Amino acid sequence: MLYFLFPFPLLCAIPVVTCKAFLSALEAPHGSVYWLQRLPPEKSSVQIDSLSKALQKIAVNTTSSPGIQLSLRTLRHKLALLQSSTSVDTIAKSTFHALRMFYATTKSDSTSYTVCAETLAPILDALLPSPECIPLINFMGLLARKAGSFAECMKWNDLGLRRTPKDNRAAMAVFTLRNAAVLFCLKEEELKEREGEVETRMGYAMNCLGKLEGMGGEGGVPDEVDFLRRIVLGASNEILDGNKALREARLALPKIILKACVVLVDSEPVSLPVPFLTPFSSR
Amino acid sequence: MPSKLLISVRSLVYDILDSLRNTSGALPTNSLFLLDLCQQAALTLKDVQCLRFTGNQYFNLGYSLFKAGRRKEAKVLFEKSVELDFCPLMAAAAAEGENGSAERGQKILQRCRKLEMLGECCQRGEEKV
Repeated sequence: MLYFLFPFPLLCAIPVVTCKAFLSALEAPHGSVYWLQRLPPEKSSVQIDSLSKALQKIAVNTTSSPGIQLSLRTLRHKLALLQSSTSVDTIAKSTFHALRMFYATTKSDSTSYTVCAETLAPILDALLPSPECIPLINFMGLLARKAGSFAECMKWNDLGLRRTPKDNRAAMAVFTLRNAAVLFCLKEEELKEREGEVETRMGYAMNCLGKLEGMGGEGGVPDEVDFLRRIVLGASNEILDGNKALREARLALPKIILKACVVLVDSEPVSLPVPFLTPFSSR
Repeated sequence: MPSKLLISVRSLVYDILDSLRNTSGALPTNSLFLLDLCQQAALTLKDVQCLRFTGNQYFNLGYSLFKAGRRKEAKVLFEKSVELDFCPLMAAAAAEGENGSAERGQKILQRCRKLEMLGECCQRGEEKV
């Protein structure tokens, strides 16, 4: 019955709209995926494998839009996550790669963020236990910031902070510093909602800036420091007038960021030219 | 040297110096610390422009202290400013970028004035440490 539902070879030649309709039919409340989930494990694994292979074939053979490619890959991941033998790390890596590719081919940041968030929503909980999820969360935080959804960006960063192991100092620093910078970009009403948090978050950021030794080239830390610097120096008076903690942070942060920059420059890896002489010729 | 960090450091140093300039009437207690930090950053990144501005600010603060009669504190700031004027990085930049005798003369005049004021801050027989 399932084979009857998937006329794969035909799909290779059909237009994008039909492809979309096919994918939504598969994921419909009582569609094929729904029934696959209800099959006993020994039967479902065979069906899932064949469906995944077929979806892969469609992805390779069709010249469909990046959105369709992303949907096809996400559907494969969703199916793979139904199986107990699946490596969540691999799925997380592949999802990250797919989202990045989609972002690279999309012009509008906000469209890109909306699609990526919608794509990730159904599988996020399954991916969270994997350590490979951290780059994915980091990417979504960045994308939300680029799209101008600052409140969303803070949510992603907070999720990143919760999921990052404590020994991964660079990732923790990135999320903390990005959150501090985003506070300066929030709208008035959003800032009022978070009024109590501002001081604490700024405190964390200042603490973090004081402990950046050895992170010169690590995981985008210099980029986040630079972003925070740009936001702090360019903070408008309207935002600063409305919030005392932000006003104080505007005064205190430049010198702390400057110190952090000096530390980061000091901890840049020294790149020496490759010596011309080999051990044998130098004798 | 990463250019992004250089830009960051420059803009931060300018911001800090600007805030110091605006509050020079009150002379914040940590101004010396801030200037030292700017100097350290400029030296670390070997940024001549930052170093020059920091040196100027050392002098400006020293001058306002000098006028207020706080000569001991002014002396420290003048010394720092003179040290920066004669540091190897500044000397090398000056040797590269000097355009005419008029500019050179003006610089020498400024330095003489600075040294003169530093001399006025020192007590008789006192030597620079």
